[in-house]
Amino acid sequence: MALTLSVYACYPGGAEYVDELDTSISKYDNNYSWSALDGKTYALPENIVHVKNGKEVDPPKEGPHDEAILKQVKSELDAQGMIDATATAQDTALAVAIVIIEQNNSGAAWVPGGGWWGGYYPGYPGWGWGGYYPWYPVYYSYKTGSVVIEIADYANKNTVEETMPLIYTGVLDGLIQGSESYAGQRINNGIDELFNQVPFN
Amino acid sequence: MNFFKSIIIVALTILSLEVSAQNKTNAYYGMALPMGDTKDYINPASFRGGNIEFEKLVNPNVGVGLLIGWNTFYEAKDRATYPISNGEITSKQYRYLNGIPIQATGKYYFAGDDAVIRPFVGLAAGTYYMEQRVDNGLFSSSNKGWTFSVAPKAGFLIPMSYSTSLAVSVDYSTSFKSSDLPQQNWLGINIGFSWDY
Repeated sequence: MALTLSVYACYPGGAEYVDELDTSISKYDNNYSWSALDGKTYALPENIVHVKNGKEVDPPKEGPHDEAILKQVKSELDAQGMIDATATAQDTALAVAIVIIEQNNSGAAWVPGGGWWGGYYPGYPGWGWGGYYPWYPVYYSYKTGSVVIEIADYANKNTVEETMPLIYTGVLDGLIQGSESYAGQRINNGIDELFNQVPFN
Repeated sequence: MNFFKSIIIVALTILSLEVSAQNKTNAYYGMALPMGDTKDYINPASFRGGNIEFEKLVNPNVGVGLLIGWNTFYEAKDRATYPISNGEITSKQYRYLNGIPIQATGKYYFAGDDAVIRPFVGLAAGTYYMEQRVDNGLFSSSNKGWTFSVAPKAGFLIPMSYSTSLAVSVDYSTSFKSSDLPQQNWLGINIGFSWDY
């Protein structure tokens, strides 16, 4: 017992601060022509979907970071040379969905997504994902928060099945601790990291 | 499995040697400098390690024994972007390597036990239980398993009393590549005591 304790006591480190565990992950469909984003249109959702402990928050409630996230994602897509479809009254090439997940449990999992898209994307209610199935990496020994940004190839939608191919998932994962302004700064840094990763960099 | 049987047979042989010789127990605090592939994975020296060796002198200059120990290496890498399948991950990365050797040892002592200093050379061979773990933020992945290992060593004893000597040695440990784990190498620097009984 004493040996176990002494061995444990001198076992090395790991993270000391909450933001040292923040993780930004991009996964993308490499069959999509990412080099041709310039000039393509995108449509952002009107609202961010909030999911708490596996259930969509209903009725929808705006979170403290929603406005800043939408603004930053718009700015990042504009920086890619893309055009906001809603501002130009064009049909969009790409559709963007954003989900914020709060989880308070124990364990770790790839939580399958689904059903968090429908109903709020302007003009295209009730559509599901096509292509591959969305996934949300969630580690939840602690209270964790995830911001999930998904992009679908709306131009190649399947009108019969009412699905559109998912071509990108960007996920920020971190512990929910500290003030809202601290969280806001971490989300801002994370979105910046996502758009500095493949396939955008 | 035959490999582990061989180790057990060697260990039992050592313990059952019926010779009118001394036994020794050697206990070391061990530091380690990563070399080769290990240095590419974790650069800083390890100051967390130790081993204990039970040795039987089959003649005044030759000892055979069994060694068990532990070495742990650790490095916190700065926040950076790493490739994953069809994507990238940006995070701080924490790298760990733990090695637990279980080895048969053989040593040759160049001077008798009445000498002021007793240099020795030796070889340890056996297995390492290795665990290589990488944490990216909240995500952890690890590879673990048993590997074949050898460690040539050299050192000296400085007798301090009738039964106790100060012991210093260096060894070069190689844990060979397995299906789950890459090869690992490090230079061990060991300081401890040797007791005769």
